[in-house]
Amino acid sequence: MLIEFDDGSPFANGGAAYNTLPDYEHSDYVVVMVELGEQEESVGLWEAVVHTAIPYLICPPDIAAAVGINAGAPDQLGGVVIEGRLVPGRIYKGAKLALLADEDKGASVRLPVWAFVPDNGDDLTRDDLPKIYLGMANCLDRFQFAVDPYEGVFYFGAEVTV
Amino acid sequence: MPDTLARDCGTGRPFKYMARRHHELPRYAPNAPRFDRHRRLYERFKKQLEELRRRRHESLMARLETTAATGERRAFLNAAREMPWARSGAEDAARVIDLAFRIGAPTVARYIYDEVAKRHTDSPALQKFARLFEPEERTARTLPANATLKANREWLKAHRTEYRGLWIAVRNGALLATSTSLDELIRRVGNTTNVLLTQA
Repeated sequence: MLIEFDDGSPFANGGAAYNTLPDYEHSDYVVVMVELGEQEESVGLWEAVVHTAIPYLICPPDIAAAVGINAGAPDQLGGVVIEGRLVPGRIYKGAKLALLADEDKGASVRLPVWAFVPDNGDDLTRDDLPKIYLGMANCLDRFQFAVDPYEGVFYFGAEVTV
Repeated sequence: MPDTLARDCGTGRPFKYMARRHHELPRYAPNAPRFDRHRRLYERFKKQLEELRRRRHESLMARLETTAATGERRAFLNAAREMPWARSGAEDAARVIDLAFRIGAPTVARYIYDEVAKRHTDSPALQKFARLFEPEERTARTLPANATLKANREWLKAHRTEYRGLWIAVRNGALLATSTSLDELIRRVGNTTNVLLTQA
């Protein structure tokens, strides 16, 4: 059952159950599955951490190269503070992110976001979490989303005009 | 007092002598000396205010540079908040936008751009950010749901810790391959369509 506004219009296009990491039994980070890149043909499914305290879609260099995010010139040099450390890297506008829905929970959605690729993948120091982060600014703020912590479902909705 | 003042006060004819006392001035301009003093004070205060603003601007720019270099994000954001962007020049704004990106504050960068760019539409320093901040089209596409997610999630929940530190490939709830590097894993799997690739 997808969430609806009072007028019956859908809040969410789709949803998917999520895992929590680093501990499956406790609510730590919400981890969802996504597809990345421009390709019509999937390069693979990836785990991504929902992290509202950082900006951008953060993608380490090896994954960015595999899905073609950093194939062109960067739009801007930048940095991101992760786990208290300032990590330098490059910003790519218009990277494609597909939020994947479970088959009984609506449809998946693909939309453009800003990707941040750290200069050094080792700067993403946590080895108990996936290395892809869905940050808030220029990524999660592009669509409506909601978390149902009781059912463990991440809902994602219509694209927000920016 | 120059006789031009008397002419300006509307007598229509010049004074024959310099006025030295208030009562020697024409009746209709008794406050002229006071106004003149106020005007001079105003000019002086205006200069002082401009000097104070200039010093404050320089001090805030120095704080922004320092905090960006040392990675003090909170202090950087505070300095950016204190800066009167409505009066700032394009060059300084462009520099701080660049710093804001480098310290991971893209929303601050956009705010400064929006505040300053509308007054400096021809600035080359700001035009380099124009493409970055130009409005993006709504290009979301709906795709079919993925029937394999649940099986992959369940497999990870049950087996992830057995492969700690390795890259793993899982398709529809079945392990395909493991490797120490992503490149090697992709080579081993071949067709990665609908294959979950992750580091355990």
